[in-house]
Amino acid sequence: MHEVLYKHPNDESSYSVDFTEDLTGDTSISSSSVVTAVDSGGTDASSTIVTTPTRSGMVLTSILKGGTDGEDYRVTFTGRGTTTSSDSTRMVELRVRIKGLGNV
Amino acid sequence: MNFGEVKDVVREHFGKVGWPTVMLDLALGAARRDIEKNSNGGYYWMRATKTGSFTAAQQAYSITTSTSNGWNLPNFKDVRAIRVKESTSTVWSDVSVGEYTQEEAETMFATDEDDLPVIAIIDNTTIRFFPIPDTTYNYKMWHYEWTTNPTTNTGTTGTDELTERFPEALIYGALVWGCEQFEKSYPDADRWSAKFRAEVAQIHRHSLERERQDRLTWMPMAGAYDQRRRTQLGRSIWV
Repeated sequence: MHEVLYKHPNDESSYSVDFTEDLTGDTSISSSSVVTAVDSGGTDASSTIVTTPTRSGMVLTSILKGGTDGEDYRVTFTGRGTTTSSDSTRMVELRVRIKGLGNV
Repeated sequence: MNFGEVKDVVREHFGKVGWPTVMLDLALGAARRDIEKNSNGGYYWMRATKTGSFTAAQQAYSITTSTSNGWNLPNFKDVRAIRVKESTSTVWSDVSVGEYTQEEAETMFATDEDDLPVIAIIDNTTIRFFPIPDTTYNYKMWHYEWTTNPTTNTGTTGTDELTERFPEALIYGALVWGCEQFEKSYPDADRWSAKFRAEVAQIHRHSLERERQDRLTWMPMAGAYDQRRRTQLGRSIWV
């Protein structure tokens, strides 16, 4: 099961995925690695929810930001091995809430 | 409530992150179907209309697909009424539907009899007209359609009548599904099932009340006004 994160719309937090265990034939991921996001209706929300990812070895990092209160986003981290060109994906369900986090 | 809030209430019962959203969507879909299955015909939010024109010399039309001039209503549930008129006319005529079987209709009309249809027969997902339309008459059908949950959590597409007015029914229905399929807790499922049935009973009463106001007409079977019985839907009560 993929991870579930709760955040306030104003929060910005870094999220990293390490593909070392998934792409065993690689030592780094290529620039073709991407992070995308869709909302509960399946509409692409990448431009508002995630930043252009950074890479370091086998780790892909993006900032999770913004979002509409009450909305659920599926964020997909796709790492592509530099040597094998194999893809591996991890998904995060990002739930953006205001009241659910204790705010009045 | 919007659909996202309905989901969040259900999630609270299963530890917020313990139940995959895809399964939650399936549970809420099952809850909606269970609610609508309990209707006699359909509830008021399921009402819809379809207008169009017949194809000359074509007797049968697919209701659910667009194949061969089909009516393309994939969520069709049940018919309420059908009216027809000549394309240049301003007056609709009643088409009797649900009163005759196909085998009766086929003995009442010659196989090549064509005119303004007066009888419609729904056979599975096909609707047949007797006599066969001889030209491009206009038709209008009032019917019920199965509905689906909102496609988004929030915004204008994140709500509908069921999530706004009867969210508890959706919630209880999903909890029954979750307790049975996910938690395997049958006593809990029974408890939520009782609350679900109570909610559905309230919906049933509310919808019936609206139907009475909007549609149902009490008319004598014989005597004065009996000739108007089929065509005066929405008239005053005359019994």
